[in-house]
Amino acid sequence: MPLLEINNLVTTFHTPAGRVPAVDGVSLSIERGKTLGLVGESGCGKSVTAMSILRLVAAPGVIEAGEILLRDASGGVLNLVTLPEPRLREVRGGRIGMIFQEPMTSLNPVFTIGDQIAEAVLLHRDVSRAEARGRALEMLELVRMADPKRRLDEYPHQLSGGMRQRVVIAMALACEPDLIIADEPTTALDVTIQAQILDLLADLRERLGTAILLITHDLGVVAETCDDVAVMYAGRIVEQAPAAALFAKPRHPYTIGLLAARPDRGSRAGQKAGRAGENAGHATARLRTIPGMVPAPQHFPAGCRFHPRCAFARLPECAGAMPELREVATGHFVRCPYADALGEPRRSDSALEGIA
Amino acid sequence: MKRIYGLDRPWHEGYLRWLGNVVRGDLGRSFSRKQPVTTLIGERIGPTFLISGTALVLAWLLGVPLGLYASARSGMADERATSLLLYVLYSFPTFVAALFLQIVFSVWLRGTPWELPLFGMSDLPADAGWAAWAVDVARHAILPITCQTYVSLAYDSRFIKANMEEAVRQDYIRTARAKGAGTGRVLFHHAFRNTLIPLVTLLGLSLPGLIGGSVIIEQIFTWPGMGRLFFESIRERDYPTIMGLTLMFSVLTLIGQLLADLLYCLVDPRVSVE
Repeated sequence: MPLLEINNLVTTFHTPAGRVPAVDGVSLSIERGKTLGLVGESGCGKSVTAMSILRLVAAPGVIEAGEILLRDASGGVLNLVTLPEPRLREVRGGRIGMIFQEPMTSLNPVFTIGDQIAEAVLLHRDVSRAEARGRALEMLELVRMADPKRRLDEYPHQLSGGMRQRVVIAMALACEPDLIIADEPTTALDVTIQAQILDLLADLRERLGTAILLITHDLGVVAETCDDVAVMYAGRIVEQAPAAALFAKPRHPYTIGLLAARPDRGSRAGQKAGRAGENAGHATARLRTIPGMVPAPQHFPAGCRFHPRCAFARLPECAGAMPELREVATGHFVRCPYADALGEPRRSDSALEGIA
Repeated sequence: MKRIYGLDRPWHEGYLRWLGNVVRGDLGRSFSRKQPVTTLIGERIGPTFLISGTALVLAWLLGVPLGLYASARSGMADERATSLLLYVLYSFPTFVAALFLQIVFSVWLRGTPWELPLFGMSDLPADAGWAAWAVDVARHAILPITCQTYVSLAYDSRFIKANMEEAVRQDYIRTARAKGAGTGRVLFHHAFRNTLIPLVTLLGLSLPGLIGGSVIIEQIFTWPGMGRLFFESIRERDYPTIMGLTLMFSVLTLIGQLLADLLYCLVDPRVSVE
């Protein structure tokens, strides 16, 4: 049984301009101890999905439908969508930890690092202040913070971005959660620090057995760290598969386009995943792009939401009904009726020409 | 005449002499009252401090909880009603409120236990007992204190609410919620601690008013304080007193700023004395 299971989640923002379905029927599942990458462009709803899990979506956002099931080791199930607030608070920071994109602003500037980590412990465990502080020190050591004893009494402004992100990670892990939600944890950091933080996360997962939901728009990061990948487009999952299968044989035209749009050279992940777009980086120096723009949620097209930008769209079928997510190979789900044909490597090459 | 006031000397010489006297603690003699300005100020500081000090403490004691309450219940019916009332109070002119309070408590309620004196600081003869005198002064002070409190109360609580609303939109609030902190802890521990920074600025700015007093309120209630002294000296063209008071207000403003800057070190770890 998966640790976390999201079924048909719908999160809507009620704005003066109308109802905006940022997340529109997303289903996902994460196995204990595994890493799931949730990928997509800005505005596709991946962060809102993450926020919905802990019900941290800010007003005017509302979870309108769906269920989010969290299982414990003994088989007990909690539905986080309907869980009363006090019980939900036990889950937040207790069974699910969260890491945010902006390490520069996600720590409270007026409290010390030690206090902020210890707070996470004190909120969930019946320990004394001194014990919580001891735990905070332990956590700083765990995230390989240099000179942890001194850092305990320092304030966020005294630390660099990478160090602050380590603090946030320490805070998220302080109560040994089953799951860490990492919402673009490395986007705001420079490249060398990015690699350090990702290595740290991978290492911690191995040592603590924590499952990770990694939200990112960086396919390189996904290729390096994830067991499974879900690709989101316009509020929906369009493709979900084990990472190796997805990079080797992307089936959805959007995923094919995303993989082709990556600069190949210089990226470590590029070599691993380069098979899908073998000729992409070599034939021409120009970066391939997907034509058009991500539609705003108020203006989602009818039928397949990708069809106006899709090189293979077959009208009028693609503009008719929303395609179902279906399993095309074991564990490989695609929301495209022509996925079987697109999955052939040769066809995907010509597909790339078509997109470019 | 010109000789007495030193007007036969060039202006810069006059200025230097005035400056020299100020440094020695001599602000000159009042034209109209024939008393040293420092003595006048010394007499008036106490009564003003009684009113504005009490009003300041009351406004903060009530304004901080009100502002926090308003931000905790933001958008709810009770909060909207409270905020509307505070806004009305804030825009309500002091002199109208003062006259209204005088009518209610000194005219309509005359003869009842609720009656309060119309103006002045004390009606008792000088030889009345200490305790009786204190009670009498307190009764005289109630209306002016009320007048001065309600304006700052409305301002302070609205200021706190606005700053709290700013604070709760910050990323660290989301982090605190993701840690499992409850609404109360998020608001009062994480957000309020950050609003102390602008609050300290506000407190520093209120220091000159604490000693300077309110011209309008002191005039309406004929309260023998600094505000009234200022008003009267302007009317009487009592230049040494005007100069002395203006100088004092500017020094107080500077001290208020300095105090706020020093308090920043306490409330904001990003600021240090160096």
